[in-house]
Amino acid sequence: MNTGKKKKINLAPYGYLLPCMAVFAVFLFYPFFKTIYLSLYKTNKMGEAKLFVGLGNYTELLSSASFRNSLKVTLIFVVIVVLGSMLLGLIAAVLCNKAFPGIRFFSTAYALPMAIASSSAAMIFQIMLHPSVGIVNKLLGLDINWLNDPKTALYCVAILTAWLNSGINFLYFSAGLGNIDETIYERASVDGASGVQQFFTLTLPGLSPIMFYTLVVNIIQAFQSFGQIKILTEGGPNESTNVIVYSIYRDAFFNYRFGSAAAQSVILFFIVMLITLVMFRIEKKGVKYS
Amino acid sequence: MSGIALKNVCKMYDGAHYAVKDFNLEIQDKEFVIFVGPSGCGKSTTLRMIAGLEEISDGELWIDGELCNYYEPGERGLSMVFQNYALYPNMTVYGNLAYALKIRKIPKKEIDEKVHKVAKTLEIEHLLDRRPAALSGGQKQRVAIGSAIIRKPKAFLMDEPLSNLDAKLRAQMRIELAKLHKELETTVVYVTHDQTEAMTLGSRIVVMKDGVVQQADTPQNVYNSPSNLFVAGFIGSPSMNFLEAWVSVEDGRTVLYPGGSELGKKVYLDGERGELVRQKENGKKVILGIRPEDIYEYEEAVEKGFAQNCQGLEETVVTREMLGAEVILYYESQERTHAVRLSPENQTQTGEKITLYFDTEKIHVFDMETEENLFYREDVQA
Amino acid sequence: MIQSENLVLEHPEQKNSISKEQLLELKRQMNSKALAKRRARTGLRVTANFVLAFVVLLPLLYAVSIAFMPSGELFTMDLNLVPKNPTFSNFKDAMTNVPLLRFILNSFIMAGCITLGQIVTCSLAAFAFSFLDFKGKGVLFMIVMATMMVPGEATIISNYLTVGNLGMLDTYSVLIVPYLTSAMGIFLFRQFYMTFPISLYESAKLDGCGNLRFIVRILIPLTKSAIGAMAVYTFINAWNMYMWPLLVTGSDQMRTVQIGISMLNSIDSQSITLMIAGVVIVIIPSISIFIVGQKQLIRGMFSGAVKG
Repeated sequence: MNTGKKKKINLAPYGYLLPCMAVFAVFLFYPFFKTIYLSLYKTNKMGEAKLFVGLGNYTELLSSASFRNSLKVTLIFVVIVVLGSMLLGLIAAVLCNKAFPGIRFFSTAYALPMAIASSSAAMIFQIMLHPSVGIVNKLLGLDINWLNDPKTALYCVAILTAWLNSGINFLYFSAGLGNIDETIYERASVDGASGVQQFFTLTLPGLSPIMFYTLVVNIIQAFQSFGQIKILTEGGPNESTNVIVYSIYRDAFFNYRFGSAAAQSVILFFIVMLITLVMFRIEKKGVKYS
Repeated sequence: MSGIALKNVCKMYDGAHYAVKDFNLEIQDKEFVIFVGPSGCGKSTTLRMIAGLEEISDGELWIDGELCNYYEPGERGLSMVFQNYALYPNMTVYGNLAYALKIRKIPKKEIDEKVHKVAKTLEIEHLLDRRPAALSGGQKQRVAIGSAIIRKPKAFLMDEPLSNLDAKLRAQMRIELAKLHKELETTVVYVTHDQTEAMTLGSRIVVMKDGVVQQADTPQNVYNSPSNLFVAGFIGSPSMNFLEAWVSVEDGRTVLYPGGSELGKKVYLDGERGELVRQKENGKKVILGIRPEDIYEYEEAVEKGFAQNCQGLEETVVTREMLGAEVILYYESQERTHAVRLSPENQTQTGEKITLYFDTEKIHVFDMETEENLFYREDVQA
Repeated sequence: MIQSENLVLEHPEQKNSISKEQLLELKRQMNSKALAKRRARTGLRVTANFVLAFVVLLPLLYAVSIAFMPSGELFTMDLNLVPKNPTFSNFKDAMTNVPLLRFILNSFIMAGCITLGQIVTCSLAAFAFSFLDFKGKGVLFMIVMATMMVPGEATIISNYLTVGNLGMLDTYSVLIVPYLTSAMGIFLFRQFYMTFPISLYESAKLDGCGNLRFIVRILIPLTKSAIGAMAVYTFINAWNMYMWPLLVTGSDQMRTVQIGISMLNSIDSQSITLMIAGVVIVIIPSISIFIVGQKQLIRGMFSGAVKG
């Protein structure tokens, strides 16, 4: 048996990896490198690389006001979405931290947005924000055309996305709260700490490992929002909601500038990777203790 | 001047099931009181009621002459050490020690002094910057105790503080706790299921079972004069030997026949004790209890002058444990394993026969039904 | 001893200063105070939950309400939260205006196949990563994990061009195949498998149990909760997928619900109620699966995610 092993490499283990590796190879690794390749070319309408331009697509992008606006919009969008969805998830998780009558109904309600599609949600928000029949204007007694005003459109899309993403954050934070040792609260109450003091000295720091993980996941997810923008604003008005992913879509499938779109994809990838790496660096220094 | 008094304290669950029933106890200043009993006996629940972590279903809790039933845990002026230490994982040892003081908004300088003083007493100064996850069990234990003693509480409550330590460390911490208690001169209420801890640490032991106090007395009294069968069996290691025996009278002397008169084994009880047993239980079955160290071989029994009070019981040794300072022999009788503690010179080996004599002055007699100790009198407590 | 005498001396004094009736009165007062406090706390918590849950559920409640509203009722200036004359006609119209049933069927086929496929490929890969020894195992696992960092949108253009060149556009396979595996699924299953001792595998081997048999007979039954969680999560995400189906489907035969539903979105204000009715129909399957599988999802995915 020993000699048999030495003679040939056992191929069986690779067999188990084959299905997933094949999918990854064709639909992830290959397109990933192809995207980088395309980003260095001007393409024809069929998406075929025609003219090598080196970093030309990138320099063009970086000098274009539209793309710089797109970066700025994406940044604002991501910050609002991440803060909003994490805050909402956290408040909901804290409210459901102790048993009370009806807790199961409420926790289902808080997690529910994760089951809803961005397109469905977008259509509902479209009606809610409708200038004449929408409930938002009616409730607030305002007359604002939320989605057609460059000042408000981005916030509306961001809040919708925050709502969509809050469901899974609620589950993460609930799990995090459940992992905090109950007796430290007992000790703190004997030590004389009030509920508010306990929250800030024990609960929040106790959540920090899961908070960090959730933050990374949320940032990555927020960068990828597409459906709601496509349906609600199509990047407008005035490019005020033209986040990178939408800009990629528009460049590739309306303007047929696949090269430029590919360059934007690469930039998106690097931004996400950079943020992830920086976050892990920070985490190693600070948050973790257990 | 700190005293804790519990009056008819009850803990009820679901409005019907009692976890603690009619708990009465006056804990005096500087006492080291130990609640001991098997798991589920209500000892921890009682402690948590004193701390304010469990609501008191009925009865009164007085701390320093104040009715405290409804005080918040933080208002009671107590501090507590938990079984799992309950250290704040996100704070350093320093932060853990300082927490209760910070909450009370004590000036930073004062906190710093106190933390260093306590850390010095407990020899954990070098650990101040560490987080709990980086500490050993014994170190965590010290930090937990340190954060309890740093503010001068009216009393320390300790819930099985040593049960997560290994045997050697536990013995060491036991000694240190006793020392600490002497130094700090503060009331301690301590919960344990370990009767050795109870015996060695407590100035008073409260033995509990099924939510009811069985006996509350000094370790000495609980050991020598257990109130009932449960206490007798629970305190002491190896535990007291129990034999069923019939009570009879022979030549005017009270006699107990272990296992029945036909076996020919007998034990005489004289004086007041014999009188008592004869009056109460003549002709009935009782439970005879004798501690392993109160059983001897013939020569010693003669020497001590009680050989004539007892027919030698011939038994077969099934296990022999040599402990160095003593030897413990085990034999079976009435389908139970019994133990005898003898001097290490004894050479009886497993499988050999040995004839044993009970020190009749040390015999306990328990009523078959009530399981009460017939000789127990509350007023004898010293 | 001296102290104890003091205590004994002091206690009768206290007892004298408070009579039995006063004590009872005091206890009753404190009792009711404590009860009120506790009630207030619970009350506050429940109220806060009601408010927050209302805010969170508002879009859904609003959608349901509009779906039942005759379209005339929507166009008033008054606050119209609840339909006055609820009607099912919106649902009926939504079904007939677009081939909604076909879309739903397409989505079910797509989400079902993706879910099943991911469970199979991920458990096979996770098995290899946790129980087998082979060259390059560490590197391969790192590569798989690194794919989690690549946003799908960064590769979508090349993928679109690839499937276009392969002539796969507007088929079921183009919807399904690219999503047949996921790094997260492999990671999740591996986390679960790592909790099993290697001896579990070794003893099965000694009993002559082959690898595949081991997976089917032992691993899968043992990881039911992870599989359940993974199934719920994957199905919901696939059901809700938007960008990829938007790019690669063109005909009504192949469209999924999320794309199909936006066909109702014509901003013809007369059709708002109809469109929302369509949205409600489309949301129902994913919400039902979520509610049914919620417990499974939490147990299998979140308790593990926090510890791991």
